[in-house]
This record gives sequence, structure tokens and C-alpha cells, in this order.
Amino acid sequence: MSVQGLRPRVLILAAILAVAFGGVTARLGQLQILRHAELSAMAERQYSRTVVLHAQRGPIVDRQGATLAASSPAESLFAQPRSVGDPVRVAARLAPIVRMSPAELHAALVSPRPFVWLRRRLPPAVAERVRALREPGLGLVAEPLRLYPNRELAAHVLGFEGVDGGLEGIERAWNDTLQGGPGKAVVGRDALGRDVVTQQVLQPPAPGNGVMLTLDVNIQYVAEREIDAAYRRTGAKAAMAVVLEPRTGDVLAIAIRPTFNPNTFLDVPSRDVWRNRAITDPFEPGSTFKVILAAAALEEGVVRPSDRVFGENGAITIARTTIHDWKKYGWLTFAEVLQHSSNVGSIKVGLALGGARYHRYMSAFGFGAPTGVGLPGESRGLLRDPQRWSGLSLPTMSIGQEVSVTALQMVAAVGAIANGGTLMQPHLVRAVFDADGREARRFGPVAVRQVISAETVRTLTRLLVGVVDAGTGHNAAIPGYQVAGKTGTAQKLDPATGRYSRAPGVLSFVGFAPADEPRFVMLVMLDEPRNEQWGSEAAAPVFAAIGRAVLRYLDVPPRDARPVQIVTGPGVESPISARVRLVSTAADASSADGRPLMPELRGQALRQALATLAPLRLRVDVTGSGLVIRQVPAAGTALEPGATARLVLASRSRGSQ
Amino acid sequence: MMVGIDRRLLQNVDWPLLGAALGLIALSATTLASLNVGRAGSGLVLRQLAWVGLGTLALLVVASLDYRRLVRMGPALYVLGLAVLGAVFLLGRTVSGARRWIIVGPLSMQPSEIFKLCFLLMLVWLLTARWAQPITLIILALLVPIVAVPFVLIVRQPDLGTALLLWPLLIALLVGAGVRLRLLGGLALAGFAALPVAWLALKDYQRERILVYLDPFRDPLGSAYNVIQAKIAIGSGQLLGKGIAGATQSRLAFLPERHTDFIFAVFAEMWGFVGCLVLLLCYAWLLLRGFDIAAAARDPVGRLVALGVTSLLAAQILINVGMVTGLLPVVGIPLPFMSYGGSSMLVSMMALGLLLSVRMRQFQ
Repeated sequence: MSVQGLRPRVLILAAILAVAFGGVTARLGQLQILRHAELSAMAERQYSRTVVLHAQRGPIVDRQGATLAASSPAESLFAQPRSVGDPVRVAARLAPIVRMSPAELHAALVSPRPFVWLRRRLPPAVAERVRALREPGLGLVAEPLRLYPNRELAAHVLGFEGVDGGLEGIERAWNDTLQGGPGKAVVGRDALGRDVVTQQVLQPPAPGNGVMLTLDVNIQYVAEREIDAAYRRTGAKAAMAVVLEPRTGDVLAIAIRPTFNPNTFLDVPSRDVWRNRAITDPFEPGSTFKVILAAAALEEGVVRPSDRVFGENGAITIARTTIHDWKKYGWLTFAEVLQHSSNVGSIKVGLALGGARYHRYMSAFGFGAPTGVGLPGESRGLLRDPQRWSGLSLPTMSIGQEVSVTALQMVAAVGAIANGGTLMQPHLVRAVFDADGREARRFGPVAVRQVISAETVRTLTRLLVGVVDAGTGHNAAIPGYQVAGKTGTAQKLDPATGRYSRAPGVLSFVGFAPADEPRFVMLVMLDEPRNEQWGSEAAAPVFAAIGRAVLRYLDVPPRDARPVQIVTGPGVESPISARVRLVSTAADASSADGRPLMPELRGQALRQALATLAPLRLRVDVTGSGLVIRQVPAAGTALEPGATARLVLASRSRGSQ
Repeated sequence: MMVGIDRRLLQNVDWPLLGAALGLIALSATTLASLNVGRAGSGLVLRQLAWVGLGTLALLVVASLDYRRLVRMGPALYVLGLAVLGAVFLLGRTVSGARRWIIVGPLSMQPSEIFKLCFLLMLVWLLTARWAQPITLIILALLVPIVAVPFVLIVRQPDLGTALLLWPLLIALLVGAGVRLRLLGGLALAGFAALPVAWLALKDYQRERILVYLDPFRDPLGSAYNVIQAKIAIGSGQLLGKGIAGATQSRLAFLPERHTDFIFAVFAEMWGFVGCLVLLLCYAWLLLRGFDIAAAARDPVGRLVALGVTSLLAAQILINVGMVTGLLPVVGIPLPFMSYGGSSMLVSMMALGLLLSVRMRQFQ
């Protein structure tokens, strides 16, 4: 065959090659152009590890801005064992600085894992000393430390923060708000897991927002102090006080024992102490629940305060079960039924009211449904549908059994009575503010529904004042103020026998003050107090102690105060109600010609200042709120009758109470 | 003809061919330099460049020799090659489970690489021998042991990739030697038909044994890992590549064998689709020159030598790129001129030398 004749053979081979090259090129196009996104993402995942940069967590403050939880800078130390030079030497150098044993550090430094935390949240000074070691394979990442300066104060409301965010309480419920936007940094690594690219911040962390609570540290402190004392005194399994502002539903204090220090939240005998029992643990309210029965019965016109009910000499038998009173009562008015907390009387009223109506009111008061206060783990309590009631249900529910409620539900329900019949949703968060302190969101009061009429409220309040003045609640009395309230003693169902045990179960007192213009509504509850000598009314004195301090703190004048007229300046919102009554304490100071002299008011609270001015019959023009910082006329000026006094107020500094 | 370069021969040096090869070597050197493999660091590039120098020497020697003389030496070289392959079993050095290397002074050599050229010369000698014309079935039957013996020897090293390369070389030479297409087609059909029958005749465990025997690295996780990593590296190179600094997959050691068999993936990650096109065009250009030399060759011997060399290089390039891009199963074949490896570089340069030898003598 000639050379020329074989040229086509060369062409055949060349053509086969051309096709093959075309195929390879097409494959490259497929990988590098069509599938580039997918394959690039896989590459990205392989070589880069994203490190989360923790944002500065926002603070939690009380209603006046006092810090309840705050974050301070800290850095966490990690090691990449494969890059560590000499583990023995590094462990020895590191140990004294981070206060860990060299052995423990060594174990971590020779770990087969590519990344190990050595110590989380070191203070900046310590972190600096670690940095100064200049050891390869060690790294520090900013990870702020959460501090609770008031230790146990409001621990159950605040909750706490673990390494990965809020774990309980507000810290958990508002974690998204508080934690801010975590930043992102990328650390490149090779196939052996060694970091090869220095940390590159992709996205700086955005500091978290602050949360302002409705709590008032001063009220919280008083409640904690008194509850703590009662808890120790009575040897109760648990004790709690919940204080609400009836008009707004603001939760002013939730004090719970046993408690814990959120700074060292792991250092507890049992995790049970973390539980915010006021919202997670329903209990049978017992006699305090007669308030709800009374509200329903009065509103429905089933009974009037003066209506007489026969006490059956202390025992009533329904569905073959006999329910006793403490005493063998004969005829009682309904007011007396409440005063003496007569079971028989209450049951009769309950039977007259009927299950359907009673259930409607219980639901309307918020029982059987979570309050929506916005804390994790809230219980709805237990309120069964009337269809599922037994023959004994209505009578037992009339005396607060066979129904279980949380402390917060109970205090909110009684708060509705203190608030003219309107149930307010209890709420804990007043506002959210950003890192610059600007208010980002505000949460106003939320009215749930009108449960009973103002008329019923007046009647019921009178009856409840009677309970304190002349009945079982006398230990809850606060001198100088009218207190409305109700005691409760509930035996607990013994799980072994299915019967109510004779041992003291839940002792409680729920009430509000002052009765005609309630500033707070409070429930005090002692769970299984052991020391019998405190009797069945151990909760009432705790109520009185906290209540007295709260009223004094809120500058609420005692009952014998004289009224004064207040005129507020144009466009200025008065911080207090115009109907408030004030105490007259000013010693009359007069000038030589008998005209009164302007007293020194600077440094006083508005209420005090107005009380001082009250006898002088002046028009008072108020600007601002807080403490008086300027006054016109000046102190010592002789006053004309009907003159105008101008007061300028500014915010009091924190802790001036 | 004496060893030595005639002035007239120099006028016919195929500079474009050498230019393409030089371009490929430059690309290889930059790629290797960017890798910093292991403890060797830049030593890798220097070592490779030393092999390029040695290869250039070999190229000059081979080019200066008349290819006809080389073909006449074919049978001797073939037998010598077989002997060396056999010696590998006795004296060879084992690296990662394969006994492929033989130590010659300071150098370690892969006889199977060099043997490809001996095999080529042997086949050309046989197919162009006067007594073998026209090529009949009997002649083809004679080829069977000539292919089978080295194939088995190389496979048992084991070096499946190199052993498989003998087949496309054989086919290309048969086509180029003018074997009647009908005969070739019949053979191909028979071969294809026989494969599955033979395969089916085997028992499961035998098949598995053969597969393992052929490729001891047949660890599905292991080989899949290579392929996946190569795909990721290539794909993440996208259209324009990540550059040297950004080639994380290659440089951060995710890609195994990245300086040897899988260097194409490194290149693809660094320079993207466009870079790959440039590289493939370099190869295509080189191969076109090879076909041109074959077509312009003065005699069938020259044409077959050029065609064989070109086919051999083409097969290596296509199988390597096909393997790295996941089109073909993974068999260990280096990419000519690009992959790190002394024997491969030396043999590729000698192959160029053969092409040049044919080119320079096309008007004689």
C-alpha cells in the first residue's frame, strides 16, 4: 500500500481523536459552567469552617432601668491540637493562667479532634495573658459573659443564659431579641483540619437589644425578702409571691423559693429550683377561689351580700360525700360566708349559680388557659368542661377544689376585680430598646375582657375588705389602708389514697390594696408548710408585710389623707392620677403678716410636695416627673391666696428609694 | 547512519511541535510550583525540571537516530524491555503497594513507561516487515503473545493503566498499517462479543478477584474519594478559575495525587474552563503536528512510528483527563508533560524525539 493511500487512515484516527477531545471539553463545560455552583459550594464547605462570633447580648433592666442582667466582654480559649507545637510545654505554660490543671489541658491538647474548647469566657485580662504566650494552635474568640448583678433577685423571671443562648425565663423567651445577630467569621482549613487562613470576619456581630421588664427591683426585693423569711420560718416546700399592677397587668414582682443564683445556675441541688413555679406549677387554690365564685354569683344576681344562707351546722352531704366547715355555722349572710370562709355556704351559692354559669365565669377570669405572660413553660392549669364534671364537681369547685390554677392566673383574676372588672393580661416586658438605648418597641397594657361589672366590683370589694377587717384575713391587714382579700387553705390530694390529706397543703392569701384605688394585687402562697405553729393563715402576714412596703414605696397615702386639687401644666402628662388623695403633713408656716410662706420642696417627690402644698390652697403647675428640682416661688416667699406654684421635676436617680 | 546531527536535518525540526511541548512543560512547572507538596516544597519543581533536562537529552539522542534503525532494533528492545519488566518483580521497589520502580543509580525508573516505546517499535517492525505483508489473520494471531506477555507482566506490578495503554496503541497501529478495515471490524466485534461471554462465564467471587487483582486499590470509598475531590476541584474552578492563591482544594491537600495523576484537576481549579481549553488546545496542537508528521512521512515505517507515538500520547491524555473528570474509571495514568514523574517525562520526551526523527527525515 502506498503512503498516499494510507492518508485516510491517519484522518480516521485524527477524527476519532477530535471527537474524544470534543467529549472531554463538553465534560469540562458541564462541570465548570453548568455545575459550578454546586461544586463550588461543596468546595466551600470542605475548606472553610464558619465560626460564629457572639454578639454582645442585650441587657435586661427593670421598669426604671436598673440592671438585672448584663453582658461583659470575655473571650473563650480554644485549641487546634494538630497545630499545637509541644502539648506538654503549652499545657505547663497555660495552666497557671487559666487556672486549670496541666494534666487536664494536656489531655485536651492531644485530642484527636481538630478543635477543642479549653476554657470558655475568660476575663479580658486573662485572655490577654494567653495571647501573650504566642503559642500556635491556641485561639481566642470573643464570647461575652452574662452577669446577674443582683444574684438571686428575680432569678426565676430572668432565667439564665447558657453557652448557646437563653435557657430559662426571659433569657430564653426573649433570646432572639437579646442575643442580637451573631457575626460570622471564616477559618480556612486543609484536608488535615489545620487552619491555614487567619480568621476573616464576614459579618460583624450586631449587639442584641435590651429588654425592659415591668418588674420593679424595689418591690421585687421586698417580695424576695419576705418570701425568703416565710420560706425559712415555715419550712415550706416552696413559697412564692406574685405582685401585679391591676390597672396595667404589669408584673411588679415574682418571688419564688427555693431559688438559685443565675450566675452559677448549674450549682443547684436540683434543677427543680430553676422552675418558675408561679407559672409552671398549678395548685388547687382552695378558699381563695371563693372570690371567683362570689364574683360570678354577685354578677349573676344569684346572691346579694345580705342574703342569708343556712350553714347546716357545719356539714353538708352531697353525692354521699360530706364536706365540713371549721365551725358549726348557723345562718350566715353571704358577706359572712366569705368572712368565715364557710364551705357549706359557698357550696350552696355554687349550687344556686349552677355549673354552666360558674364555668363561664371561671373561663372568663382566665382559668384553664395560659395567661400569655410570655415566659417559657407556662401551665394552663386545670379547668374541666362541665360535661366532664361529676356530681361532686360543682360543690367542690365552689370551694376551690377539683380545679387547679397557677399563681399568676389567680393573681391576674383577682387583679380583674381590682381593675374595675376588666381582666388584664399579665405582662412582663415593657419595652425593647436597642444598643443605643433607643426604644425599639413598647408593650402597653392589654385588656383581655370585662368579666364583671363595676357595680359587682364595688360590692365584692366591700365583702373582701370585710374578710380582712373582720374575718379570716385579719392577719393581712395593713394599718392605714383598706385591704381586700381572701385566705385560702387547700388540702392536697394524697396520690396514695386519692383523698384530701389532713396535712396542710397550700396556704395562700390573695388580695389587693388600697381597696378603693388598688395599686397592687398580690398572691402569697406557701406550699406544704411544715411548722404548724404558724397555723392556717401563715400567708396573710407575708401579704401584709410585702403590701405595707409596696404602698410605702409607691407613696400611697394612708386613708386619713385629705384631698387636694392638682392642676397639671399644659401638655404635661401627670404621672399620677388626678383623683389621688394626699397626706397633709406640712406644718403651717406663716409670714409675719399671717400670709403663708412657700415651703422648700426641692428634692421631694411630687406626692410629698403636693401634700405639703395642699393646705395652702394654691394652684399647682407641674412639669416633668420624678423629684422637684425647681420651684417658683422660692422657699420662704409669702404667698397670696389662690397663687400658682410652679414645680419642675426631673427623674430621680436610681436607688434613691 | 551515524549518531550526529546533519545540517539538513536541522532545517526540518518541527518547532511548533517543540513549542507546544515547551508550553505544556511551563504550565506543568507553574502548577507544581504552586502546590508545595509535602516536605519537598519547591524541590518538586526542581526535580521535575531536572527530568526535563534529562528528557531533552534523550529527545536529542532519539531524534538524531534514524527511526528506521530504531525500528530495526525493535525486537531487541522489546525482548530487553520484557527482561527488565521481569526484573522488576525480583528487584523492583515497592511504593504504595505496587512494585513498579527499579533503581538505577540515584534515579528510580518505571520500566513499564519506557516499555511502551519498545513495544511501539516492535509492533512497527512487525507490521512493516516485508514478510508480513499483506497483514492477515495469521499475522494478527502472531501479535497475540507479543501483546499478552507484557500486558500480564505490567498488570501484575500492578499498573493497570499502563497495561491498558498497550491496546489503543495496538489498534492505532493496526489501523495505520493498513490492515483491512473489514478484518479489524471483525476482530473488534469478536473481542466485544467475547468480553461479556467470558465475564458471564466467571463466578461472582472470581469476577471480584479479577477486579481486585487488576486493581488492588479498588476500595470504593478510596477511589470514589479521589473522583469526588477531583470533580469538586474542577467544578469550583468555574469559568475563569480561582487563581493560584484561591485554589483551596488543590493547595489544601483535599485532592489526593494532585501532583501526579490528578494534576489536571489542580490546573482546572486554578485556571477554570478557559485555562483548560488552552491546555487542551496545546495538546490538540501537539497531536495535530504528530498526525501531520505521520501524513508527511516518507515511508510506512515513519508514518507508523509517528502515528503510534501520536496515538500513544493521545490515549494517555484522553484517558487521564477522562479519569480525572469522572468520565472513565480511575486507572493510574499520568498526564504527559504535566504530571510530576521522571519516567513519564523522560518517555514523553523520547516520544517527541521519535516524532522529530521522522519529521527531520521526511525529505530524505
